[in-house]
Amino acid sequence: MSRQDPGKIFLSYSAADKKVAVRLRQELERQGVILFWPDDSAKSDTELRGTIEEAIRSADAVLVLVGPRGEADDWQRFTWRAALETVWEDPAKPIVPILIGDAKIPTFVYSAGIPFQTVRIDNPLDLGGAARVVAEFLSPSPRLAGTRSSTGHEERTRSRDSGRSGGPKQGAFSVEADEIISGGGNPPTKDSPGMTGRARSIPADIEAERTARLSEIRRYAESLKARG
Amino acid sequence: MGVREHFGQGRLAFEPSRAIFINCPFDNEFAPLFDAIVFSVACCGFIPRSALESGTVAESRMDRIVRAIFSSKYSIHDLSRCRGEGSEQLARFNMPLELGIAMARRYMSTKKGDRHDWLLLVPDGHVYVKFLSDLAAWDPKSHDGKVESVVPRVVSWLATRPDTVRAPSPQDVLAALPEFQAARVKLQAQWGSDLPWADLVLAAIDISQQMG
Repeated sequence: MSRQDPGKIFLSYSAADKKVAVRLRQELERQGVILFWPDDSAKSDTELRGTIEEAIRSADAVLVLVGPRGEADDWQRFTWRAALETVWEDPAKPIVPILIGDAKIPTFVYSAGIPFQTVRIDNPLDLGGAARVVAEFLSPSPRLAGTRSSTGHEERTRSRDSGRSGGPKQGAFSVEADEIISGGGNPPTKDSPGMTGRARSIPADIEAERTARLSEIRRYAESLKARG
Repeated sequence: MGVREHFGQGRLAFEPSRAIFINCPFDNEFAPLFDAIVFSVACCGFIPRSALESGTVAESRMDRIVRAIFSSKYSIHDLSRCRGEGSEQLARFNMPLELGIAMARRYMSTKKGDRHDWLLLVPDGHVYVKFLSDLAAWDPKSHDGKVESVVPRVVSWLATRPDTVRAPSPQDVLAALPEFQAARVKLQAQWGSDLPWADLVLAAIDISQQMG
């Protein structure tokens, strides 16, 4: 992919996951993805908050790193909130959850009401493959440009298993993205496995395009894993 | 006639991680925003709590407020009325006082996961930083006094809390809000100024659950 403007991709992470975030930043830079990285030492909380809000507003995409324990700190929750409000105003802005281990997709992502794809990292020490897939997600190339469709915020992609069948390999990652469901808000739970009552049919042409793209993403992810 | 559901029982059980104390003006001008906040809370799967929830006169208002705040993990505070009013240009300070109680509850918590968390709402252009500058660090969110601006503020905050299990979009909440407003009018006609808080909250829960 061609290199994008520096700082136009925002990475949300908690202090507990900073080491992984720094390594991911390095791997993404190798792929030409330059993250916004605030200088958090020189500013007051209020100034830093304003800088981060502005960075999220002007970002082309927001990456959401979630650690295995899934415990976001106050700062990360602040970035989630800013990302959510930004995406509500600009549904063309992608949110890409990057989950470490068994981390769950944060509930707020479902509230964004836009399609999303998830990258799951099984080994936080090996982030190269995951970074390549993220770079492809963010690529302006239509080849792997994601599942965004003309129906905009009425749709989203819900993560399900894809490359994880047979169990995760050490050092592997997987791309999770398949069905689009509509409406807003409810992550699947044991008691409520999915949306109810408000499902809308997806136009056939969009569904076909989405399916083709997701197949391509999976093939690409599998080829990366096969190459190690 | 069905069995009455009471606050603290059944669907209205006091589970702190699901409870949100609402500290907002009760006047007629603020009423549409108050309803929107109550309904947004219910739509996100939380239980709205208020100083209005106990009809007993045997307990002081402050006792009721402190009890409700200390048994709620979250609270929402709107400082719209911290401005000069009437011929004497006096401001009302009940709400900053209750915000202070909520802050105390946060710092009294010994377990990290139990720490009280709050959303601070202020009107656009509010001068809170001049009279309450310590609050600037708590990321107050401004609104223009209309439900269309308050609902996204409340939902975005609720959707990013650790105990959230349901997060609709603001559009979904706003689309269903008129139904809740109609239910409130109906309840008000039945009860007048003594509308039981439990009934209002149950109406919000019922309508929010129809959203899917």
